[in-house]
Amino acid sequence: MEIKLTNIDQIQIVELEGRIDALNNSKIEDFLSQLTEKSEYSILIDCEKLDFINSSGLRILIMSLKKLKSGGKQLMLCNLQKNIKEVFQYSGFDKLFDIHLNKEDAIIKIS
Amino acid sequence: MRNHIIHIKSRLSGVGIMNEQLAKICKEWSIDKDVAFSMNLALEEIVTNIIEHGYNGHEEYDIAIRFSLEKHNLRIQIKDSAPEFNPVALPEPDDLNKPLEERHIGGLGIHLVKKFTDNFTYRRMNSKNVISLLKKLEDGN
Repeated sequence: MEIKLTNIDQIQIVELEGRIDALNNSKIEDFLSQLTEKSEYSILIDCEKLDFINSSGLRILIMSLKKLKSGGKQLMLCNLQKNIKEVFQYSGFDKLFDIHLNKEDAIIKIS
Repeated sequence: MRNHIIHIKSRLSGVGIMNEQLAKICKEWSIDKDVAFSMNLALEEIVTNIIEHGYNGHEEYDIAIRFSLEKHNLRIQIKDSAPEFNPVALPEPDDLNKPLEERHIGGLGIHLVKKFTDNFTYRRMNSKNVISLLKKLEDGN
């Protein structure tokens, strides 16, 4: 699992590459919990290269979402692959998260 | 019909070996990418549940996994010696459509197993839990 962080204006963009599975759940959990702890900015997670997510991954995302929302910030997602999109739909997470087709759409929405 | 059986220990490295084996088998058996994804998700949810709850985090127990390529299905059978537990009987989460404030954290794993498989069964046999996951193949490999 590769995690890349960039900043555009007031948005922190997190690119995830690989799998959020039992082996590396804790890596993404640590990363997001640190990022949301001190976050003065909203976060956009780019899932273009994310191939897999399990229920623990969903749990990590929802905790980050709750934390950011309580501080008046947003957690958005974009570029979800078909299978990942289904995981979100079956969990009802597609209604909780602001999900965009691509990075550009999300950035326009958030700015 | 083709079979492949592996035994893993009830620990994280076992899950890693299992995922690698599944990926390898899916390649060898020319399993469609969506079927491979569904079965990987279902299998990981089941096995992490067994490790965390069935074996309570004890790392030395055995979990046997059999992959079978049938004419129209990919089937995975998982056997463990943990106390009797039937995940199929778990109630569906009732908060899937609720707003964020009312959503519980967790409880989604078995729900996803039900959604991503075509058949999900449990039986208790010879003091073992036996779970079977089945996914239909598009054109019967």
